[in-house]
Amino acid sequence: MLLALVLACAPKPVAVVDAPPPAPVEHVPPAPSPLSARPFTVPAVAEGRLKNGARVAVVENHEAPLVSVTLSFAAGGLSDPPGKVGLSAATLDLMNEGAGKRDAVGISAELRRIGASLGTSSGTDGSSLSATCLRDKLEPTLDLLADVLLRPTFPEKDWTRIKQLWIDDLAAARASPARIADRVMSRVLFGDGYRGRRYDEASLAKIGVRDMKAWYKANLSPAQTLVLVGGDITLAEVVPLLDARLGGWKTPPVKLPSRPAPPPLGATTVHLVDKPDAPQSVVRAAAYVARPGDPDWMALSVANTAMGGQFASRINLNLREKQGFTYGARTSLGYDLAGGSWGFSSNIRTDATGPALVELFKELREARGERPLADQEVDEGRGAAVNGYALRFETPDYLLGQVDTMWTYELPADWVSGYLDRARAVTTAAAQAAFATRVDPDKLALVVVGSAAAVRPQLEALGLPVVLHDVDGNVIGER
Amino acid sequence: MILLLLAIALAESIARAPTIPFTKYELPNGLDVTLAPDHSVPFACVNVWYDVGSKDESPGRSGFAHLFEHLMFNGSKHHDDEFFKPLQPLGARLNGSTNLDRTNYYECLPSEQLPLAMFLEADRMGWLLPALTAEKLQNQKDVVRNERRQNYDNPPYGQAWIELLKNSFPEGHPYHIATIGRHEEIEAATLDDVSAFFRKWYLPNNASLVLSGDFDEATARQLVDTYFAPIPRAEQPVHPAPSPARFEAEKRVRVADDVPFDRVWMTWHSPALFAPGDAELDLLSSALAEGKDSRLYKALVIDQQIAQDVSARQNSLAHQSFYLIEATASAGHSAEELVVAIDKVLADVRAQGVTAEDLDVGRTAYEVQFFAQITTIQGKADLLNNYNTRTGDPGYMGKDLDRYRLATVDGVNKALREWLPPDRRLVLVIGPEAQ
Repeated sequence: MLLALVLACAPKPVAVVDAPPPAPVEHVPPAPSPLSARPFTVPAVAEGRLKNGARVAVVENHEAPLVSVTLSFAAGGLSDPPGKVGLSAATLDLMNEGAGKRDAVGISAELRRIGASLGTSSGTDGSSLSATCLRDKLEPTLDLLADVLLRPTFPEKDWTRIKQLWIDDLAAARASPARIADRVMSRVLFGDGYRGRRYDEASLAKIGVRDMKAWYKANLSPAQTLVLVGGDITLAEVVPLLDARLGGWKTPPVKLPSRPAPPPLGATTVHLVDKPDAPQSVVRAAAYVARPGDPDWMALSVANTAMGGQFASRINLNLREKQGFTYGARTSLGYDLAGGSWGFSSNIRTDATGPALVELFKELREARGERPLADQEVDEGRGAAVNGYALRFETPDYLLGQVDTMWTYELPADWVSGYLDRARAVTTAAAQAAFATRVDPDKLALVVVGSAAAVRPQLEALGLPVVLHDVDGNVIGER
Repeated sequence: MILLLLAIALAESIARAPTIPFTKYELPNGLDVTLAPDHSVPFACVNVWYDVGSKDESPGRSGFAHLFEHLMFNGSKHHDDEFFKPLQPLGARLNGSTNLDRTNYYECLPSEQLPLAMFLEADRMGWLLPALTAEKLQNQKDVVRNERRQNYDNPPYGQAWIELLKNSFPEGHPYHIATIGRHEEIEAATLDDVSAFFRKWYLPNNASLVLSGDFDEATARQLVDTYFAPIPRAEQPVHPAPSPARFEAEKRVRVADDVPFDRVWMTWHSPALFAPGDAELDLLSSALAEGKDSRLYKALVIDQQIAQDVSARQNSLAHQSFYLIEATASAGHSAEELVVAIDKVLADVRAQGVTAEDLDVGRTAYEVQFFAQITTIQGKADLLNNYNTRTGDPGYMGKDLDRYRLATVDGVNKALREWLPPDRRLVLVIGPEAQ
């Protein structure tokens, strides 16, 4: 069939001199039909343990001679002692500033000499140390990684320097509308607990390198470490290399803080931060809706895709493609130690901020009542999940990230292996019910960072309570 | 013995060189087609580059190339609907982007759906205009102006790229105005502008199609013939040929904004992408500002502690590039201090030169970067299309890598002295209003 069409469409190689010019024929491309599907299987995760008990997961990929190694630690910002918020982040940051016989500059020089990169990171729910290198430079890279993990020196002068960089960054965050919105949303959702706890100048002033040495000793233990390895290497090859370097690390297990409870939300309130003369409002909405292991999670996810999770979804097609209020509007599901949350995010032209929220609430309400999700929308949302799955496994990163997520958030063992079956099983009724019962437009936290003079009247016209905050999320006025 | 070891080392280095197997051919209508099969996952990417960017816009129509790119997602004659709609349920990843030099579009989707992606991509290459309406145009003007607000007008320092280009290239030069364009000129675009731009630039003979991923070559060739061969070619468009921009002296510009710190950008005009000196300046960047041990970072951020960050990079462009050093002052320090400190480092490097070790470090970093890019089918497709669009050879990667492998200490030092003179450059500062 295809071949016949090809011949019909092929340009004539030679012009016939005496023939009249052919009448223009309207081009009609043949309707495309799918080829035969190719099989896909999720790559294997090879699991093992180091001699000291740390769990190891390896995802092989031999396409390029690169290897990545990440040590994921269960302890993070949640383990910061009262009054010293930022201690875990400072500790992780400093581990990389001096280790073994090298200072910060020496570590960097050795890494660059071998073409490797190494970094530390920390969040509220955990922290990590990771490195990427060429396969033939794995051993010197692991030597450095072991120095950073086992022999950090916590130099006082480097903390003085890093602390100032962090204080400067706080000033930068307070000047950025997008970062203000994220910081204020955390405060709105959690007050001064869990993700509402953020370091500031006062808490950093109380943190010294002695605190870091203590936090380091008390919180990082092989029993609460997951080693994630990806790339041009096997489990059998990497375990002896890791054992040789990390085998002596035997800190006993630590007691991790208890999980924070998801916050109860009252009636939908707008939390407004003034950014005078801003041409756009940064708008965020959020609520905790379900734990990621919840039986409804996949149905909720499919429903969210149809509502706002992708370009051609109800909310983006309305706010962007119909109304032209924004460059884009998306909704998403996420999870942290408190549970799973639903969120909305968009940057909206200042004069359209109120009208855009009217449309957002209309979409959320109609989906619960007069315009429930249609079979086709759910089919398409389910299709996006099922059909797009294979591409995530092109590099080891996604699968290793899922192994880490399952460990951090105690997700069911079939989180990855059962994904496709769970997605295929979502019915229209299940998606509709999950969304309608979990995402309640009357119980959302809304944050708007924009021109208060221009936006406040628009928000009040919606009949929603408006609370004014400063850039750090402190309440400064209520109406 | 030493010779033998060298030979082995060389062989190993070649054995692990990043490569992308491909086949290239040209359709009678002038479309370049590059096929790069890769069966690692059952996905395929359709990747099209048009050799048109904001540098090719008409006077008074800044932002148009990018606005046009948006309209490519709102339907064409045989699919008059949102481009995303039929692709998303198939699990496709798709998008497009416009910069100063070129516009690209891609969809990566399950390989059995390759025919649909080819149909859609060809339809908008050949038959976009019948589906165009005034309503779609007005809507996308609104969307694009919101994009400008989001990425340039609202964030701190968001005007930097606009100011950099405005002050580095003179009025009338194709790189004078940033790709996003000016609000009033975006608003001024008409349906006639869209038609004229499409007819001039969106031609098979001004485009390059790359397919990467899980397909067999015979099927791919049939699909290319079915969907792309019927698109008529037209007169080859001619790009503007500006005379090179040149600083005759140091130009200092200060822009006051609602920002907490001074941030400084220095620019110098430099060789075009792939021209002699381009790779040497990349290697110089590595020595200047990659890593805590690099010269600028160590001096400004670690030793003197007057900057929060510093970066250096060769901004490679088709006509003429520019070299850029950027640094943000720490609290209590000023752009003027940063300029003095940066100049001291540059003077030292000019006097003493970079070392063979600097070069080894830079080369290794580029090698790793190439390997990382070819681990995804989308990364491969973009690399092949970049090479084909700029050099006519999708297999240019070997030559590209050789530029780094064969660069010499003398070459890098010469590039620094020739292209980064202290007295002919732009120094742009964006900082808080003076107290």
